[in-house]
Amino acid sequence: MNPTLIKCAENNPFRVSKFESLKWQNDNGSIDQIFETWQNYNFRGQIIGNHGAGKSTASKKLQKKAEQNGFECIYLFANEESRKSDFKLWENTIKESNKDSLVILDGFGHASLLKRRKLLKLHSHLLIIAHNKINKLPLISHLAPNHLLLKKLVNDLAGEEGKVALEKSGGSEFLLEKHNANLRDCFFELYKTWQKL
Amino acid sequence: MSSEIYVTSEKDSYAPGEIIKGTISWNCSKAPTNIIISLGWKTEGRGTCDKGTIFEEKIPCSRQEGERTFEIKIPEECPPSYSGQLISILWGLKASADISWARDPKAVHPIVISKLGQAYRPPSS
Repeated sequence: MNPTLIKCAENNPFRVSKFESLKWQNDNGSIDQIFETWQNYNFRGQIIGNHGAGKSTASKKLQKKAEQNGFECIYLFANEESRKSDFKLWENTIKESNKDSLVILDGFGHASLLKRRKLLKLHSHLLIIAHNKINKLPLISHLAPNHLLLKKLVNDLAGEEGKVALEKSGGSEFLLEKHNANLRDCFFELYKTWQKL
Repeated sequence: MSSEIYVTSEKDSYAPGEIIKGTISWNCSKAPTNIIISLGWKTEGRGTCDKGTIFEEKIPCSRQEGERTFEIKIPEECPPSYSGQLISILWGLKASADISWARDPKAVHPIVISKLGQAYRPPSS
């Protein structure tokens, strides 16, 4: 620990901007491999995972990858605060989209059952991002971070300081279990631990 | 040849309402179409990051390298620099050069905007 470093938000190695800029990593495959699987299923499928497992990060990377490969890719997001009107907007956006474009629906599980059924019929190239498996769409990836990944990410973020913060927080296995494999929550706890080091 | 741009200010700390006087200099692989100077803030910390630009100017340019001065008036009402445990508000001058078909060089010069001459801090830190 650098003793001259003031313990403020902009110096905290677990600040949001820093962990969001981490290179996306997953044991189930790289973004290129996930994209390939999606492509093999004719761009129709689903990615599932718990809160904070990296689903949104992965889907934004997939959008970028799709665009780099010359596809028009529409990314639509919803969360528990989304309203009916947000899903109406999804519906209209999909209806207006080109049939060759790719559509990523992040937070699909927050739509009502009826709306989900409707949305699935609107476009053939859909990628659903949700917590749990929804209907019979092919499973492109199940994101489930393990403690080794957490350890690696902490090391990438904070090196030795990260190691100390992780130990103080009970270790990678304990922390991941405590937060139900939610990496974001693990980083939030490490953020507080770092302040106290 | 890689392109470079630099931005500096006469002082590191300003009070709201003051005028920032500074200089941008650039040396690019080819003449940029514009040099862009902006003043803005961003948040860092435990929450979702936010940012705001309070001034931006595009300066048409035809020279591969050069230097020019600028003046920016800081508004009286603006979030001051703050350095807390949960959130920090950081101010900076940003300069970039628009170069067609090439990487645009960018530079950020951090400054403090506060009546205290330093970022506000919570009493405990």
